[in-house]
Amino acid sequence: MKLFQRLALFGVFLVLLSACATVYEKGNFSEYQARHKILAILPPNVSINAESFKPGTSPDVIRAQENDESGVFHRQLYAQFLKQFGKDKYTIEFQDVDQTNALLEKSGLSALDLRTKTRGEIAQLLGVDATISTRMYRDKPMSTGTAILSVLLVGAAVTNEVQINVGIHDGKDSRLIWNYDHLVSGGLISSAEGMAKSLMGSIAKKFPYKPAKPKK
Amino acid sequence: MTNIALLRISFVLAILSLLTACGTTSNMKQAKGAPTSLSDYSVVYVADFSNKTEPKIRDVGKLEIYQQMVNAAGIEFANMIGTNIEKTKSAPAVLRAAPTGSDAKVLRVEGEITLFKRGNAFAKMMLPFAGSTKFNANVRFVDQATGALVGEILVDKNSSPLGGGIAATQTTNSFMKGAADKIAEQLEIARNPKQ
Repeated sequence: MKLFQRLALFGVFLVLLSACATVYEKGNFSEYQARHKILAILPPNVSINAESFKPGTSPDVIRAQENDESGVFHRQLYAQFLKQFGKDKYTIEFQDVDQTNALLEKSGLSALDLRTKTRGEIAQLLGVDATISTRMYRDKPMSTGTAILSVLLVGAAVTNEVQINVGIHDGKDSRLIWNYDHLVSGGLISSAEGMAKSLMGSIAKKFPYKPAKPKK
Repeated sequence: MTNIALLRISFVLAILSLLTACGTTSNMKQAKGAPTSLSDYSVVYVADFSNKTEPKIRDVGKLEIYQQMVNAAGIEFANMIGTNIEKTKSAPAVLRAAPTGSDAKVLRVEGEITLFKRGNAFAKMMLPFAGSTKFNANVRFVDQATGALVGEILVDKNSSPLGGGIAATQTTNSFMKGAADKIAEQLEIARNPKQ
């Protein structure tokens, strides 16, 4: 029994280990912060592992699902940022996502076309000081059956995985000034949507542009 | 067998597992006649990696899913390389699509995925030599204007054949991340060679 307990503990440790976020911040971030007033959130780039779908699912269906989720996450991210903004947690404002989407559509830029532009060009087009770009990757590393067996044998299983990468690029020099990378693994009772939603909250909390704390 | 002996065996197995795991990402091999420093390239364009795998999957549906998965990995691997290059100290401007009408000297990072095996996390945890994960890719650095090869990196990653907890956490995604880190680091060295 002791062996099972140890294995279970090891399983939990592995899940915790795989749930660490990496944050990168450019050395002179405060200089960028001082001149940034408004940021635009670009439509997230969502990618779902084809193996997560039923066999025979067409690439078109997968693309449609990815586009739908991109729209949902775009709004969720905006809502989370607004929530923190409302509490005076940031020194910057966010462009309304509807306005961002409308401006991109007006310029005939699809998500794929965005890759042909530098971040500076996109920021100029949107009339903002910096842009926030997000990549999200969803996967189901184990089937439910294997996951149940894994839980019984080693006390842990990963049925959902969500990897998110968020970057802020300056609108003038197109440089990456902040990056957040996080892989979250969920067990049997997790849902990819729920994990993505909690990740959005975590990004909003880790987001830079915090006002300087008053000196005591 | 005493507890100490068991502990020793476990320790040796853990070390062996670490040593045999991961495979390698080579250093950048500069092409003949290539400039010693790549500092002139102020823009780096990272192209999507193409799919050059040769899967032995007979089922058409499964093969289609596999191809979609590798194609998506080719895009994500390029994204990871691009982001990691942007994080380097003297980062050049990074583009993910071919630049048009630019006077700057552009270095193109391109390549292909030659082996992509997701493996099976559960099998890896339970048994040695089972369900292993593999990721191989060729990475090339090319002068965008002339098409001349500047340098090459070979990625050859595999999960620990001994299995266990470490092998279970090794995924194609973690291999791509590790390789992307090394590729960005190698480019940084090539752009700033020691005087």
